[in-house]
Amino acid sequence: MYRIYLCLFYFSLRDVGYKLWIMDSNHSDEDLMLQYVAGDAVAFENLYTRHKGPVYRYMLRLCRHEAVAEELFQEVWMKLIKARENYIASAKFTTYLYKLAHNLFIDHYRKQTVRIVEDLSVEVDDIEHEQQSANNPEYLTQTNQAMGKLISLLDSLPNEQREVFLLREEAGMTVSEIAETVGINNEAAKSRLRYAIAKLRSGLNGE
Amino acid sequence: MVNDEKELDDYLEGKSELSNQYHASAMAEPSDRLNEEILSAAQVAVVPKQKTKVRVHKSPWVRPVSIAAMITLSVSLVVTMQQETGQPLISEPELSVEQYNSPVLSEEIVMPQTVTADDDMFVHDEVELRQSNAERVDAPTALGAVGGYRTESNADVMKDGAAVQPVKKALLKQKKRTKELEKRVFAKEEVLQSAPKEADPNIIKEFKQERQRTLQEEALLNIKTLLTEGDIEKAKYLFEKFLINYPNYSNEAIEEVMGTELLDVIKSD
Repeated sequence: MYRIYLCLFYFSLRDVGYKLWIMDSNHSDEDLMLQYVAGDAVAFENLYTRHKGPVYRYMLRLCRHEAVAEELFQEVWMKLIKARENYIASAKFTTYLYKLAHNLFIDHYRKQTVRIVEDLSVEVDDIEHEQQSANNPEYLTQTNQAMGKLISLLDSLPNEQREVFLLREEAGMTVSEIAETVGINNEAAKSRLRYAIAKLRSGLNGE
Repeated sequence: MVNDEKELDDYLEGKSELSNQYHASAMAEPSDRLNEEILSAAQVAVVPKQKTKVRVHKSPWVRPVSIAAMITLSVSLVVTMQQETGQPLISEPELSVEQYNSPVLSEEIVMPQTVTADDDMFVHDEVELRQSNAERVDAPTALGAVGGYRTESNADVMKDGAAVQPVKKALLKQKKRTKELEKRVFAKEEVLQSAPKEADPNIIKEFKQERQRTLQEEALLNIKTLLTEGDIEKAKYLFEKFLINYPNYSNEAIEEVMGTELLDVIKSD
């Protein structure tokens, strides 16, 4: 009988040890992703815990609409789950993940643009929405209260400049990684980032 | 422009206050419902994969190994059963004519010492059977059914003393019966052919005499019939011929057949 208890104790210790190993922050994203590809759902949980906030904020700041951001955020992770077999360990996981997010946002943006061209009323609504997001006192009050002035200034930036800034802040990417994710060269990425910082700085200083 | 460049370098090195202000203000997180949906989807996507992956790992080597094991077990089982029973489970190839007549299969057959008279009918049937249907006579199985003759053979023991295989035993037995029957049949034929030559001449003579006596009596009876019917001339004519042909036939015998009265009628004229 004591052998059964020993076996149960051994397996429980092994499971706990494995979970601790998985939850260890020293493990790279690539290791966790490979573990998930091998069938370990716990690794995915850890990976998701690490990146859910930055990816969500990246989407939210880009879309400037919570419902759309949630939809795109969910779509990013679903696509990652479905295309897990295609993941190559040599690629950096962050670059892989944010490239998925970037492509989804681009698709969404293009669909929205076509819809605007087709329906003038929608276009007017969108324009009004953009003006509202930048000039509406009530909206500004809400965002100022919740996120501060910096977020309002960030929303007023062009998409390209806003995106490189978000990739730098949320994903912690270098200029070259940003360029790879967005699909531009390093100089273009550096230029966009420079403009974004300058505009935000001037907005914060009240210039 | 120079200031912008310096500002960018400071920002990339983490010396800018812009990053601190951003992270202090932007702390939005996805809702719990969203988290649950994504995590459950990730877990569901992995569960069937584990099952299929086991099959993929098994498939390359499990099938060939199982086939090889099956063949090995089958062959060993057949060999073991063959060794234990002593009988071949796999049929041996049929013997050719040369093998069938080979000295290995030959045996000593003792011919029947006597042929009884009761066997004549059987022998006659066998001769007819052999002449009409030679193939059936040559068939070992057909002849193997015929028995009842006295034979002595040592077919059960091979010349080298080794044990005879069951198939060879059966063939040997059939061959023995065939040869035995053939020899017996020819012996019967010889008996039949020699029978007239070896018959007793006294018996034949007696048979001829008896037959002649019968013919004489029949002739006398015919003459007697003619006399009783009144045809005396014809009766006399035949009686004279009878006396010429059979001069040794005694008068007592003639009187015994024809009677005294009728004999007197013929002699009177």
